[in-house]
Amino acid sequence: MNKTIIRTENLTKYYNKGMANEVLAVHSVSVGIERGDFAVLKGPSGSGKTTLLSLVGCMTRPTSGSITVEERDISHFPERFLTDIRRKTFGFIFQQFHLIQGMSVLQNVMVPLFPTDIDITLLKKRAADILEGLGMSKRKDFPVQGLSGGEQQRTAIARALINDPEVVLADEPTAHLDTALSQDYMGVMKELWDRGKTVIIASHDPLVFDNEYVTLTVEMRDGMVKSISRR
Amino acid sequence: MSLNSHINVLDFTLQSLLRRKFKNLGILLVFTLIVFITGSILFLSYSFKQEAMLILKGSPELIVQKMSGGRHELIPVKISKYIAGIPGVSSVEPHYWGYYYDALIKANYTVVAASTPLSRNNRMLLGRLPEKDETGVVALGREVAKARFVDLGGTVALLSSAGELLDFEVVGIFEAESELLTADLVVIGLPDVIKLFRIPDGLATDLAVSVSNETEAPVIAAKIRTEFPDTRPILKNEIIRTYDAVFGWRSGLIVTLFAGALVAFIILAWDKASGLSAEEKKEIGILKAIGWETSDILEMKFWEGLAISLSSFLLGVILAYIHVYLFGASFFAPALKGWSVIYPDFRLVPFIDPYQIAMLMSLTVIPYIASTIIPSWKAAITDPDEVMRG
Ligand SMILES: Nc1ncnc2c1ncn2[C@@H]1O[C@H](COP(=O)(O)OP(=O)(O)OP(=O)(O)O)[C@@H](O)[C@H]1O
Ligand SMILES: [Mg+2]
Repeated sequence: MNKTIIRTENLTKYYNKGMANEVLAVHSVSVGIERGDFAVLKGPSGSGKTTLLSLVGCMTRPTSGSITVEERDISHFPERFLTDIRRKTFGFIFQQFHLIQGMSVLQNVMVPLFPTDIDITLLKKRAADILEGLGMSKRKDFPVQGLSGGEQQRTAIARALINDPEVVLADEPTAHLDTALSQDYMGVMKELWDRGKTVIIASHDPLVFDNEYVTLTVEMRDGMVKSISRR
Repeated sequence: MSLNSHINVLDFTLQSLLRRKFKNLGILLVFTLIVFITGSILFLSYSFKQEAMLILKGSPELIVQKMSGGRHELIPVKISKYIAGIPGVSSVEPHYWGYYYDALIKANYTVVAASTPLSRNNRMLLGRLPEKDETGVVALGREVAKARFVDLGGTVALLSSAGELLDFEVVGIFEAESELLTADLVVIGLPDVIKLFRIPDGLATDLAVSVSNETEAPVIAAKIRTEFPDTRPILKNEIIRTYDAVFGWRSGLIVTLFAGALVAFIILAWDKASGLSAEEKKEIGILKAIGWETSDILEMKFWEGLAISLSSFLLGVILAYIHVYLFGASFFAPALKGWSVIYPDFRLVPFIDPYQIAMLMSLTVIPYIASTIIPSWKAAITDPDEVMRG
């Protein structure tokens, strides 16, 4: 098995290309992320971290350049295949958690796999196990809007793990958390990483990138890579 | 995808519906109401048609009216001799009738001279119909008798066109086979009709032409028209339209109600189509981002539209059925009564026309589902990366 799980080659992304409000959000980025990396994308606001993360996570397509995920060049894949890769390879944790309001914690964790052939009781059990691992068992039938910030965070993590993804992606996960909860969160990420997941986090929070277990730091500025350091 | 995934998506959809229960309940109510109104109208108009068919059963193949300036006028009886001579005509009979406005109860009656077809079409409840040449006696439709509070043996006075008050003894009360059209019927002898409406000698209201072979009726009608260009021969199947003219404003009212209901439906659908709430849009984005395919989202929206529209549809149709056939379309009664205070007690034959139901369904359920799916489809095909930026 190849060590590199994701590789980008001269990856470039314009928003509104050709129009007055054209933005070059990511410019000629070439990086390789290996299996088992704990990677951090850092850089000031507007430097293109979120854009790069969504390109890598197959959420949007590049304007030019290529992205290879598990040795498949996905830049020209039809959207159905991108969805498939998102569902099988990635687990996303969004900045605003983006839980589905009005549903229970357990239901929220199950949502990604509803449109698959998994048996519902099996899915329920799997979701319950993940929640248990995150210490959320007693909250599992709560509606998500009643949860504390930290609990919402854990629900979002559990949802990202329901498909047992190879890679966990998170965008500014600590932006809305206090120091204690942020450290808590990083603890969970480290645990996942210890269990063999590849972790990619976009953040400009030192609590995230100043950790000795970070193996790859990609520093961005103005859509370009300023430096790549590997440890 | 096989069965499990569909069950799972359906399960998720039903939970989603419950999450937005107030909104969905509102849509359900409006939708049900619209189907109820349109359904009632469809059932009612079908029954009107049934009633008209009953009347047609006993009516002549051809009715000849004289026209003047586009209006129905009294017709000279002497031309019936010519008409009777046309091959294929078995008999020609002058008819005498007219509308009478009763200021007392503010209602219109249809006053008809006694004749044989009448006795064929009506069921006597009490007494008898007047003889053709009898004077001073009257038979009333059940509803007229009710409105005037008269019984057998009582007296009814009618004001003639000459301003003279004519007294009639009630000798019969009858019930028409088709109540809708003849509940307001008043039958008197021919001399009395002539006196009441001051019909000049040698004229009649119209001529009823019986034809031995009905397929020849159009040919005979054409002959009459050539010979008497100022007449209008009406074929039996055109009588439906005459009936429509009599009840023209009623059907106009119904069309208005129908159009109103359709407009309401379009507004509802349009509102749905244009008003995918920010929350719903965001949810679609989240689902896409966490691994739902566009087709999964469309499937969910399909279930959603189907669940809402099908249940409202069924509910609306059942309520309409109960309304029209069990309660005699009582909600429409105040509107329909405008024509005449004499509003018949409907005893309509319950009947379901699968074609009508299918049409109502395709006019409501399908556009509704489309209006649910299309905006979601637009939201679903955009890149999910928007979600990353909240
Ligand atoms: N949908 C969009 N349309 C137009 N421009 C966009 C869009 N999304 C992002 N941009 C622009 O692209 C550039 C890079 O944005 P991006 O969100 O990737 O930066 P970021 O490093 O994540 O910033 P932050 O730290 O503030 O989250 C910015 O200038 C931003 O305004
Ligand atoms: Mg960002």
